[in-house]
Amino acid sequence: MAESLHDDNLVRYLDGEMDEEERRLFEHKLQADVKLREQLELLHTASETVKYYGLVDQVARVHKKVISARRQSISGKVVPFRRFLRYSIAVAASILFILITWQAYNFFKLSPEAVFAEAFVDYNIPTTRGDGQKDTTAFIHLYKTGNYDSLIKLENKYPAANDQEHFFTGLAHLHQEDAFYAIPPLETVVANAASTYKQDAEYYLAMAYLKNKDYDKALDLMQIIHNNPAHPYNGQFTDKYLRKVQMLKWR
Amino acid sequence: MESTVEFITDEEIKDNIILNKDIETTIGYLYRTHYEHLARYIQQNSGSEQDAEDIFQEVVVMFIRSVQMKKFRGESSIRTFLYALNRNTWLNELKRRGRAEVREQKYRFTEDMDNYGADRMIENREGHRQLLDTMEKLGDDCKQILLLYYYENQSMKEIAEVTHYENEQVVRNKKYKCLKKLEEMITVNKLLYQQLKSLLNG
Repeated sequence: MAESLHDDNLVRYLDGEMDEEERRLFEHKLQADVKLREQLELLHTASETVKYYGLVDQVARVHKKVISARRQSISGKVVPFRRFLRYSIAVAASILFILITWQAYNFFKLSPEAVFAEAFVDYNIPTTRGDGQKDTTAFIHLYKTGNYDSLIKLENKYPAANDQEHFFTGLAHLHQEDAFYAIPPLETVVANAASTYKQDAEYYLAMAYLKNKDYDKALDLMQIIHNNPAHPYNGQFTDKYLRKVQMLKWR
Repeated sequence: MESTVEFITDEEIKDNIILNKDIETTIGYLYRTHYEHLARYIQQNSGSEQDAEDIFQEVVVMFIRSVQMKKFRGESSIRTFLYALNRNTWLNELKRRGRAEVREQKYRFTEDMDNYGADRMIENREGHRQLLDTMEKLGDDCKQILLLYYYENQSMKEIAEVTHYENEQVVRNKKYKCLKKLEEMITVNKLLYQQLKSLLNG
């Protein structure tokens, strides 16, 4: 009982529940009693322990709220980015699909005749040639008048004897949709480096190859003409045109 | 109740802590203002995100205790002090985990740490853990009543209203018993008692 009262007074003193007179008397006792002071210190440590724990608990509650909000905020920032990424991929895929479809359409729409017609230009006979020779031969006359069949018959009877005759023979066959027979005379002209018809023959030979579906040979010759800015037919074989011929080759 | 405020000065933070005013708002402010850069330090020094969270939580407690015990008086900024607390607590933790590179390091505190007594606080992390452990063993009823009285400074009447006890006298008796129980738990273990004294008195 005494001990219990003792303890009770200690707790009341610790908690500041004594009035002034009581406190003064109790402090007097404390001064005289070492054990009492030790007990008070123990109780004080206990009460301080509670206060410390209370602080830890309060910080922990705020910590939980803040960290949780922070994590939500971080995951929230990721979602819009993911959404953006998804949309971007979808848009890119759609564009790619359209491009592929368009390319596929163009690929299957391609026809050798259309590609040939796109680049073919008829040969204009100049009034005089660079070498001063007058173009008044039978071959030239027949070509000028569009008598390609007669020109070919003439050549069959009197085989071409020079580059000019070879050249017009080749052109005549080309006009007759007979690319296969246009190739040899044009190759003959192209083989002669000194020929004044060489560059013209290169162009028509390339077109003859194309017509004859010799795509590799056509592309080789077209590339040579394309790479030479000084060639009179350079403008006929653009990059785009060469790609079309390439696609014809793949088909 | 915590509310978010735009800005609180160092002086206001100290005053809030000493007067036990708007504590949750103040703690929230410390988190919002300082957590990111202190967490980055730990993550850049072998720590995980979880480590950064745990250490910062301890640092906030240590900071508040430093102010309450009048060990931190504001000679440096709160930012500087928190940074030092954070760094040294993390080093202490690495040492505790037995990280070789830290074992070889002579880990010493700055003069500022010594002046604030925060070095002892950091070294008393074991006491901190023991304290939490002891309180958990006390039981929920005792914890509640003691916290309401000693931490939240509620009166017996207010505690009676919040808890299931019939009247103030019953609350008073219960509070007395719980405090004595806690006292006995501390007394039984001399080492625990010394650790707690060291932790609580700084």
